[in-house]
Amino acid sequence: MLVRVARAPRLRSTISDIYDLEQSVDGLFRQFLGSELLPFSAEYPAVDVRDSGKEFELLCELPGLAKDELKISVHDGVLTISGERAAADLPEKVRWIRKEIPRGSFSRSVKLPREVDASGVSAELHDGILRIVLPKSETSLPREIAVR
Amino acid sequence: MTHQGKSVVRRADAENALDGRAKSTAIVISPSADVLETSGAYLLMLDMPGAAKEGISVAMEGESLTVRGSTERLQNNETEVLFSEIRSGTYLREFTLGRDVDREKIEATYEQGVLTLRLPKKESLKPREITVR
Repeated sequence: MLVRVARAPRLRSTISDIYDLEQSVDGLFRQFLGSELLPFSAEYPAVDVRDSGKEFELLCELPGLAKDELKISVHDGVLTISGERAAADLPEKVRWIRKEIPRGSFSRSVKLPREVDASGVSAELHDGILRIVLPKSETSLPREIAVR
Repeated sequence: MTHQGKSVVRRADAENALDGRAKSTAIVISPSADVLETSGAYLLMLDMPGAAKEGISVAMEGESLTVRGSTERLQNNETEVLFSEIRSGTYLREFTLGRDVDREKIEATYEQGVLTLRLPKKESLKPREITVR
């Protein structure tokens, strides 16, 4: 093997070997215990949800995906992100040395809070991060009532 | 939900020992990689979503090639985090190069959150056919 990856055993142990070892040990535990007991979720793709007051913001990690390989839909208060990460576009004769990147189709659904205005949802994809902005509906925003 | 798991914190400490520039709270993420060989080059692809192009560094020292990147996510204090699975921190991974890699001609591109490195093989070491005269 001509390109050797840091995970291969070596006499001189490096910091990255230690990280990699820890990751593989974590992976083993995850297999035995299930994802609930460990800090990282096994769900794909990984998602963050934030509340900024006026809107909800959903971030989703989707490296290697183009805009048109992605489908976002809102139906019955459920937001679904689906798509397919195609195989890398490669020349005919290649020899794989390491294959860790997950490829293929995926789908993930998130239940929306009732107060989202589904018609105002917008999305952008930048550097492998999908950002979906979900404005809260007017009726759910806090407002002051004047005393007459 | 937070990602301050024990193993993650230990990883960050190790990173500190290695590089004083890292913040004590930094989480080190080992990016997933695809490595393959074609007749003329090696290709290395690394999933590094959210890494700003300017924040990515590819350093060579001796036989080792080190890839780093930081995820400078929009850390807005005005927002309340309801749910968090995405790891934020520093991408770091080290690879060992073979002698047949032409170090002068390594190319790197960052697109759609994927860093692709093309490591061409040295011309003199490429397989070739010799015509019999």
